[in-house]
Amino acid sequence: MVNQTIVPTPLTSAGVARESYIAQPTEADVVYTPKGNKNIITIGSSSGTVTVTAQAVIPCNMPLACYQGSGAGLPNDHGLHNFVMSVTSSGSYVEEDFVLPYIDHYVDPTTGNVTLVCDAGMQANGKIGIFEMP
Amino acid sequence: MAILTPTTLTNTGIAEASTMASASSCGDRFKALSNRDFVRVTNGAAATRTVTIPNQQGGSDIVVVLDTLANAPANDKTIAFEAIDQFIDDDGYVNLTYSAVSNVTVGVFRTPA
Repeated sequence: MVNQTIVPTPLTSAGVARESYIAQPTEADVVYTPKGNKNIITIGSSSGTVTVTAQAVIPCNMPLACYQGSGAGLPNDHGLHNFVMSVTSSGSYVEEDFVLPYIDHYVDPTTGNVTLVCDAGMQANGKIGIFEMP
Repeated sequence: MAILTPTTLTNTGIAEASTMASASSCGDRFKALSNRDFVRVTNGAAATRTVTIPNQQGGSDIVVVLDTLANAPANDKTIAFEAIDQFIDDDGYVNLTYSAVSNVTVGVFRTPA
């Protein structure tokens, strides 16, 4: 399977034009190397609902926290809790920022990467950017 | 000088644009917490705008130029802090001033701990 690797864009005091780094995904799976909990995932939709799912790699031991709000996670095939991020456009382009809860649940211990799976809507009408706080 | 309230990003998603407000002609300020705070400023004008965040400890100010609307996305900048302590005044605020405020919007955000 081919993944798209995104290197998180550092946010700095010089000012960053973030929209320059937000683009349509080229592959269904996007991977990035997180820096603790300092990453911001920006997801945009120009039409309908787009969904990005962070793949959990270890069992979630805090199910209540994992089921908070619209980022509700459902167990994947392995019984683990993925984390779902959705953005809905009703016509004009909409963009939202997300921060993954409990980042350790999504980091592959072998690669150090997080895998984000983009649905068909995301691949057709979505944009994604990943940023890193100082 | 208007006081801006930071919006904390969450795992449920925050539409930054919807929380931003018009820049104040007297400048804006926000109660700083840590380097998890960041500022987003957007220029919708046909002329460039400059945002200045004064260094309170004698070091270099943060000076960011926002390009014109026609040159988007360079008209929309996110400013983070490598050492926010240097920009916090005696009252605990980070201050922002603008070369002009028409068509300028600003928002302050914070990543969770």
